[in-house]
Amino acid sequence: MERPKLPAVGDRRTDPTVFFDPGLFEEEQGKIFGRCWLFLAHESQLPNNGDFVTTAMGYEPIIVWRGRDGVIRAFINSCRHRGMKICRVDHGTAKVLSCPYHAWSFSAEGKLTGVPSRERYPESFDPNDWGLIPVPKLRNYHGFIFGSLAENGESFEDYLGEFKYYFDVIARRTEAGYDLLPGKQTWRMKVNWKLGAEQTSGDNYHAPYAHRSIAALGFLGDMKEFAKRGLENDFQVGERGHGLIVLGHPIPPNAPEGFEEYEHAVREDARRRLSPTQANLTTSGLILSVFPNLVFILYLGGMSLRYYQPVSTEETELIYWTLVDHGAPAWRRDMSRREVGRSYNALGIIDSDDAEMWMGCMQGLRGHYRRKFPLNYDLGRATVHRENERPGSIDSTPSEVGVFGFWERWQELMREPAEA
Amino acid sequence: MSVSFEVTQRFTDLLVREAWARDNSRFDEWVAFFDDELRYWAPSRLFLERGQENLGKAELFCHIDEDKPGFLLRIKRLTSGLTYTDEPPPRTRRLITNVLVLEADDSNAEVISYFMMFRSHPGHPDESIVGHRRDKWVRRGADWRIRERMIVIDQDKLTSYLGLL
Repeated sequence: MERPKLPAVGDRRTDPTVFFDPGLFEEEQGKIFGRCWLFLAHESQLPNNGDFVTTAMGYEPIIVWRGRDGVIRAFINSCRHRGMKICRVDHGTAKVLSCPYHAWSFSAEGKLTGVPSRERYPESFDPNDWGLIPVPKLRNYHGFIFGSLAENGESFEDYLGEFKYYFDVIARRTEAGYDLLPGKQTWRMKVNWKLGAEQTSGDNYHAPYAHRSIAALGFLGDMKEFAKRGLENDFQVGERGHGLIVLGHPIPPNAPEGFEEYEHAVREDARRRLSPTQANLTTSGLILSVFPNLVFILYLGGMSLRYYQPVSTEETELIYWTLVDHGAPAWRRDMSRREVGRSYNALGIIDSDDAEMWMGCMQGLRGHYRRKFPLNYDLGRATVHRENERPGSIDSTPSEVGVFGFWERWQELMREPAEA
Repeated sequence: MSVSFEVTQRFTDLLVREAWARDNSRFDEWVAFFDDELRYWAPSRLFLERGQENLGKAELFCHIDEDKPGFLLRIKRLTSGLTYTDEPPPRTRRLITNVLVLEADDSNAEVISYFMMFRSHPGHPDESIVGHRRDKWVRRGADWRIRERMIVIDQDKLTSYLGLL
């Protein structure tokens, strides 16, 4: 198959072949997932020494493990002997994990500590050379653990760039940070991961239409009026492929007593760590994406975290979790848990609409003739501008500044030669 | 404890009627099976070492966890005619088997049943999911109502839209 021509940066068009080309998908493994900072785990999943969780960075299976020294590390979940995954469960606690295949054993610090028939190995065999392969770069940013496979790549802060201003609104919302609640959902859907990622990076154009059923129930407020409400409370940001949609300060229907007071207190407290403008955003409706595949949705009391895990050109796993403020009262924690259950997953009244659209896009675009015609991202101002202290390319909503920002960043990375 | 054939038959009959109402989109009839004190929930599951799974774990992520108002809200959405996942109406079939009455007296009962749900809808591959339910029934006057339904899904990765199970 002919390699699709990557559209020129800034022309606000995308070639539909980017969703279907197996060659591009393989290239993404190295150029996107092998190069970007990816979310691995939240510290609250690993409270005790020896605790581990398994996840993935693109194709790479990953184990995030708190050592006996209390240090959190991440390794490729693959035995150094023949490559078998040493861990086959979602999480657990162990000081040592033994590979099921030939029982090479690895400590929580990644050292090779046991080799059966050791006496039959040559003298030159040094177990120190055969420890688990560490994820070369790790950053615990206020409890959110990110990793990068780019050994010589930029720091996590440089990777966020000016978008750190917005990421801090979520990461530093409270002094105590978050708990990631136990349990998750994996929804394997027949879409390319980028259809989901581009949407959450900045498409709220679709909300009153694709989500018309919940709009009719009053869940979305008056979204068609967004553009008239100005940049103060409703705006979008695109920056280095990261994206943010700010959705005002919606009050959930049937909010429990104390909700507004709680959020007010969060806002006030956030001023101790953040600027007044940032602090004001801590309780806004927020859809925040960290390129390439991580999404936070804080909306109507629910605090949801997900990532898009690419499986193949036409298959993606959405991994869903729930966040709650550490130390929040039980009712506030329960409110987030229930709202995430109601809205953001395969049974959710919001995400099920989105999946229906993405699957329909995949089917609509699959034909080779259709793929000759580009997709349009013209919505919004052609020239974006910066507002007051708020960094990044800002536009009022609806806009596709964040969506196309995702594609610009994707194109940049795909054009760079792969690392040696 | 032993449960009489008649009691097992009663709950089997109720479950089959409930499934018939739901599969035929007779939502008024279907809602009447659920008590006002309803909890309707489906805990998420993980693959863990043997003996470690705990579906009753505090604050566990649930695919759905609704009380009666939330349950009614979802039905209102499903029946609004505006919901793309449910327009045109999908074809669903809920096969209910292995009805096991754990305990029952004149006013309460706890009943396990297995289900397989088939779903066909434009744009989706035809799909089935399997699992079991643990229902707590309560007697209200002449009627039995479901006060709690816990739905335990066996698929690790959900591959279809599950609507309101």
